[in-house]
Amino acid sequence: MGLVDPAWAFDPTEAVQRMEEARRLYESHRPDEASRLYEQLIAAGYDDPVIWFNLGNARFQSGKLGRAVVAFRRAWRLAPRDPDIRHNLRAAIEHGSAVSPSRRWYERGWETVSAEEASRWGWTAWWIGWAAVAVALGWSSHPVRKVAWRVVLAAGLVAVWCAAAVAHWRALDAECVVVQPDQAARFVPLPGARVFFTLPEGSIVEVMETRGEWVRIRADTREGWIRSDAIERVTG
Amino acid sequence: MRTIWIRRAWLGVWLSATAWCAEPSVEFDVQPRAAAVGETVTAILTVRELPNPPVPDLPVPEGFQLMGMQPQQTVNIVNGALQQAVSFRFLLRAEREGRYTIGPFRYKIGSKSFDLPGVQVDIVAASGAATPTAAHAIARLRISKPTVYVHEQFQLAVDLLYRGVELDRQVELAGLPESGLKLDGFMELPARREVVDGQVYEVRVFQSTARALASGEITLEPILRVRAIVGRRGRRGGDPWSELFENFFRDTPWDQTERRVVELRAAPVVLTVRPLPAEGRPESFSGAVGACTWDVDVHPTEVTVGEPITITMVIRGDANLDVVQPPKLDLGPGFRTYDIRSVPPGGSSAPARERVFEQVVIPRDETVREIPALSFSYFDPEQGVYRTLTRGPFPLVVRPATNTASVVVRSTGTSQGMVVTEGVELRHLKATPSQFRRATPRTSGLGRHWVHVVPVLAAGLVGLWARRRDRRLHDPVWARRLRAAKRAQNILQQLERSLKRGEVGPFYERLWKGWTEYFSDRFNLAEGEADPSHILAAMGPNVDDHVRQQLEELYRACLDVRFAGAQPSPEQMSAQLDAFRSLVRWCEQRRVR
Repeated sequence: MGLVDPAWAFDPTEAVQRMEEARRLYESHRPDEASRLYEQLIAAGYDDPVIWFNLGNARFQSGKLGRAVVAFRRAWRLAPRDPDIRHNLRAAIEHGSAVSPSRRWYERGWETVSAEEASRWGWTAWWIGWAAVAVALGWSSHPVRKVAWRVVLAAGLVAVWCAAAVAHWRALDAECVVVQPDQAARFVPLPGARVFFTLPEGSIVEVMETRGEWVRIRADTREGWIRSDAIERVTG
Repeated sequence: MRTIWIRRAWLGVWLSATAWCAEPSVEFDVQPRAAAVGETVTAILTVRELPNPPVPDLPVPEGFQLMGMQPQQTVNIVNGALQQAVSFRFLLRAEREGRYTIGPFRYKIGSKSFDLPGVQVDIVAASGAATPTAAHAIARLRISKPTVYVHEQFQLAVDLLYRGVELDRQVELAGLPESGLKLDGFMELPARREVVDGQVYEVRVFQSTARALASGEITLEPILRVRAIVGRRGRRGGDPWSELFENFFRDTPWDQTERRVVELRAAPVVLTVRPLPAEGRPESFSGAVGACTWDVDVHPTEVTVGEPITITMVIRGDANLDVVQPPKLDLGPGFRTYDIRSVPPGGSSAPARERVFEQVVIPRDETVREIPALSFSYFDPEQGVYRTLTRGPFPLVVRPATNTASVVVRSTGTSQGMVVTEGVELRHLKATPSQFRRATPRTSGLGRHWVHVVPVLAAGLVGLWARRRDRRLHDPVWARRLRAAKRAQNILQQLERSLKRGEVGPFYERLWKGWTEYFSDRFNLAEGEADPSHILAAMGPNVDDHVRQQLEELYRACLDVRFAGAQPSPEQMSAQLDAFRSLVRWCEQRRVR
């Protein structure tokens, strides 16, 4: 198999061929080579949830649990309602008994739409809302103006909700995944410092602060310092 | 016409072919099986799947008189299959009271013969001749077994017997214990007749499958609440239309019938419930009480290490299958086992009395040679003993794994295949999308979103326009002021053209018109008020002297030409045009009023 330079920018036809080749490799129990192909597609500028999902499967098959969670999480960010992605992400996390952040009910609501969808819907509501404002101001008929103001209200609510969802996704940009087994989270950023808790591989944490080779992370409700090379950012 | 005959011929060929293919069957019955002297009972012999059967030779007992025979043919198409039947209905009038048996007899169809059983019929004396004190409605409880084991199923039937009284169809059942007894829901069986104390009763039967949940004695004393129709208000007569009318308005404010609720208490029946014996209870007993069968299927039997094997277990029988727990399988350390799951029935055609359990197991290494024998135990209430059914062992061929254990499992519950990798079920790879999503660089701040300011600006402009429109509608002074400037521009252009042409008369006519229109609109004056005194008053106190002078001179010049016949030179006309332009400019630049 001739692997190409990662910098190569595939055209869509070639990308499809690469996907099929990667699938064949995966089904032939050659997950490392399949992973490499998927990673090349991503490096070439393709940011598709299907590629990330398949990459997650390939990484999982090759025993890279943490990096599989990174790929599944990335796929989930792009297509949060996809049941297959949700299933595999949950299965991978549960397999490693890893920690994943708990969500409040309204955060789970925001996570039903991707950041891109929320942005698109929000701006659509923004345009509709301002168009309705123009109608409400310019139209002389009272009933039409009444309806227009209601549309303004509805569009405003949608736009605000979508803006909140986008902000939520932006906040999740700080998410990282532990990609090395059993990482000790310490009270202070020193190698010999006392261990506060241990994070299994595949745990999803939030980066709070970076200090040299150390990062302060929050895993669900606990905070501690771990080495920066033990985690990988979900958003790359 | 020809088409109709062709269709009939095809139908005939089809019927004959269907009849030739199907196996004929014969049934015999008598209804009702209880009657009074003088009443008629019907003996029905039904021949299925055989066209044109011969008329049977029915043996008529001594106490009956054959009144006639009515053949009847029925054809049904069920699920595309043709079903035909011919019934011979013999009308027999009861002549004498007593217990009679109609049949048995042999019915011959060509070379085949069918032995039909006899049917017992009770004939009583005509109504009123015997036991006039017999009750008109009775409730009766029947149970299929007086003594049962805990969780053993038995039939419980409540009969409603009535004669000489009209009852509503609605029946309420009460009085059964609310705990300790589980009833599956009552179902009404076909109505029949029965002789009780020498009287013929109509019988409605309500039956349920029951199960006792605890040992001990349970006294069953159900109560039936029925509504007896005791009379009709303003009855219109006994014709079918009146019946239809009454049924239509039943239970409505227009219902003409009078009803009375009657409570019928059945004679108590004691049910003895025995506990399941502790002795001889096998380890594989999981709560099944009742005769069961057990089938086990293992698939596939040739696998690679890490590949899943599905063990499907089917339990069938007349037992308490809804509470039966799946048998615990001890397959040893050679297998990784998943949780056992109950498979829902696969459609309406599946038998109702069965439970299906599935367990997925994965051989850990190639040394595994078989799935050991599996056992299932149930309690046989008829014999009072536990019985154990054993299936297997099931030989396996397990090949060593070539790489990481991973395999695609097709699951009926999901649209996508499942991959079992290291014991984790993952959804399989997704198909390549027709169009890939490309990464988009994220811009900070407004960035590429500046375009979204457009609707805000557009709405603002619309708002300003609307405000201007509304002010024009509601503020005539302001509207005239706006109009004045436009008119002045127009008049000045016309004056320049007249000056170039040297038209004195039209020049001053236009100048006067422009004067009047501009100053009246500009200062909200009536057209007759556009003279220097009103204009200066409207301009206010801060008016320059040269403006005042220009205003008065221009006004006077217009009057001179229009009314005194003055003939100004072109230079004077040009100077007056400049003066008018200067006045307009001064008024527009100075925000006077």
